[in-house]
Amino acid sequence: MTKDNKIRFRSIYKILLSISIILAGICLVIGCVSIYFAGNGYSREIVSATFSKINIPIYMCLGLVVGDAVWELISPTQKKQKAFVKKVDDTKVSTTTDNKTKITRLVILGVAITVLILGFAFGGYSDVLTKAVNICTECIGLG
Amino acid sequence: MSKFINKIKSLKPTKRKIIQLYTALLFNANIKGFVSGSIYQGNTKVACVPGLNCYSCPGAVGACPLGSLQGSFSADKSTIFYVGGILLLYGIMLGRLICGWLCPFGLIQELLYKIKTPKLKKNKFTKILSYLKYVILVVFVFIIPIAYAFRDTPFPAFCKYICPAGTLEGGLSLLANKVNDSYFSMLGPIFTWKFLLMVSIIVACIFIFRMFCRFICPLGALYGLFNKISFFGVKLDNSKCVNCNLCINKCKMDIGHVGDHECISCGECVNVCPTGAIVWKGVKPAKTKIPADDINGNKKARLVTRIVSAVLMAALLVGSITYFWNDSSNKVSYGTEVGDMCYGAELPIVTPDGVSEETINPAESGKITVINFWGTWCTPCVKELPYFEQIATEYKDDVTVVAIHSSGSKETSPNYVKEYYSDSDIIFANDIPDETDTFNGEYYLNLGGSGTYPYTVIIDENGIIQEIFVKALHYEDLKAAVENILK
Repeated sequence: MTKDNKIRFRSIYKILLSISIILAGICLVIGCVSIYFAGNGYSREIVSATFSKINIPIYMCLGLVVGDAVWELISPTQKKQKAFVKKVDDTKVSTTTDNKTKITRLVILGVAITVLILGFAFGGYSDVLTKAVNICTECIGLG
Repeated sequence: MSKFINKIKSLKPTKRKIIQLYTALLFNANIKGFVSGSIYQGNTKVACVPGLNCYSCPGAVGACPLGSLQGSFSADKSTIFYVGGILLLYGIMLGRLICGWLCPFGLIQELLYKIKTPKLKKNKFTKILSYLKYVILVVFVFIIPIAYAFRDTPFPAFCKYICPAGTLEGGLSLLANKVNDSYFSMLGPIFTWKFLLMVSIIVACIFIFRMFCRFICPLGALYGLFNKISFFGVKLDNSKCVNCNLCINKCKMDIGHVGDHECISCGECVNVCPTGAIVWKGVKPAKTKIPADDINGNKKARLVTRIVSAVLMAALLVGSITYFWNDSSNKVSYGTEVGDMCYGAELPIVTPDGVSEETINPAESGKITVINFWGTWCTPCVKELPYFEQIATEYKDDVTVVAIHSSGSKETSPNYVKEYYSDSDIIFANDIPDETDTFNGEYYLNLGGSGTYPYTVIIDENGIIQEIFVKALHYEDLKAAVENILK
């Protein structure tokens, strides 16, 4: 592919992506408004009917937006910035933490483990399990 | 060809992204849940995952630390110790490194931010707004749940009114499955509010980096308190720092300095620092000078370590997914419908004096029977019981109301009945354990329950199911249903 073609392809891609984002935004707004006005008697049919008005091309646009985001995610990060590098004496590696912080850490760690063991030994885990194994209708907005 | 190979080689994701993806999959390894439309009910949910991951997500294999914390205030004191201990442990070990590396919702936000749009950069206003999450932490995670705890009512205020992870991972995932069509009847103003809030947050995350983490997440606020003293994370070596502020400019969070309460230890500042003043806590610094005759050996050792680590991690993930797929704790509803004959079983009656030896078979009362499945741990259940009591009193001659407590935690029901319903017309009973002794109980599962509470079934005098409600009910709903059957 020649350089001109690459540039042309990139600009067309950017335009398509911008249109996709706008259309995705419109879909979201339509969805929100229809659910808001549908009232309490929601049913799969009402929601499906609303979204069936969104045609396949728009689904493709949504796919393009998501695909672009995933591509960006797996792309490499930016190259290291070239910054002023000050000469540093390697023998002066001062990564030791002061004693106060060390003691605080160890104390909190000790407290955390003790409290956790106490809670577990007295059956505190059962309440956590109780809430976790049932659908918390409040947490997910149902009811 | 070499260009193509170099291009492919350059498409490596960073370590942090790999770990984010990996943990998101690991914490939601119950793939079967997405297929079956039910949540996992196994014992691994005893453990809280470190990040924000709703336990009502069909894939979730652990508990949410924030939901567990809010629920612990109205539970036994040992629960507060247990959840508090877990949060303290995560906080002191990792601090907000959890936000940057282990939180599935953080991953979703970073993915959204990748969408190419104009971005809102951090400024003084966002810095001030970043303190909002502490207000949310205090009010919604502590004050409101504790206030309700004095009324013996569990009330996860943050989960109920704000958490977008619950709506997205739990609500929409469950509603998307056809098996859960009955849940649509439960949608109301709360769902509308939460849905709109979730959409607003998602849209905002496209323009604002980690908008939820920076301004709203109370879990991040809690972990941020430990950032400076945590065992792992990034920290600034003041002896080397030249105050060039390249790190602060590079960082997209509202940090005042590296490693403060806003820092999520993503590590992007480490590469930018010209003097190497930013280091990882708890990690041995890499050798800057390796002896020449040791270079190859060192390379081989690193390669072997990487391969072994990758294989172990992959084995853990695949093993987890396989284990949860085959685990029988994934209960699916038996599919009871209106018009079916009600399943019958002898259930032990609960009196203010305790569990009696008398039993009741709700299917054979000979009257219209309202069978309500509830739990002392379930806020909507506890709130609707007074309406059932009203119905039981008003229609005493024609209707029997039976409130059946879940098999799990059934030991809490006698005290609750003694305290609040010692003189009630409702007949309280406990469910019986099913063959695998899951939480819900045999009667609940046989009457079509699929993990949601409260759950109400109304049968006529002949034992035929007339109504099924998969939601909390008001007095008017119950009255209308009973009147309909009486006609």
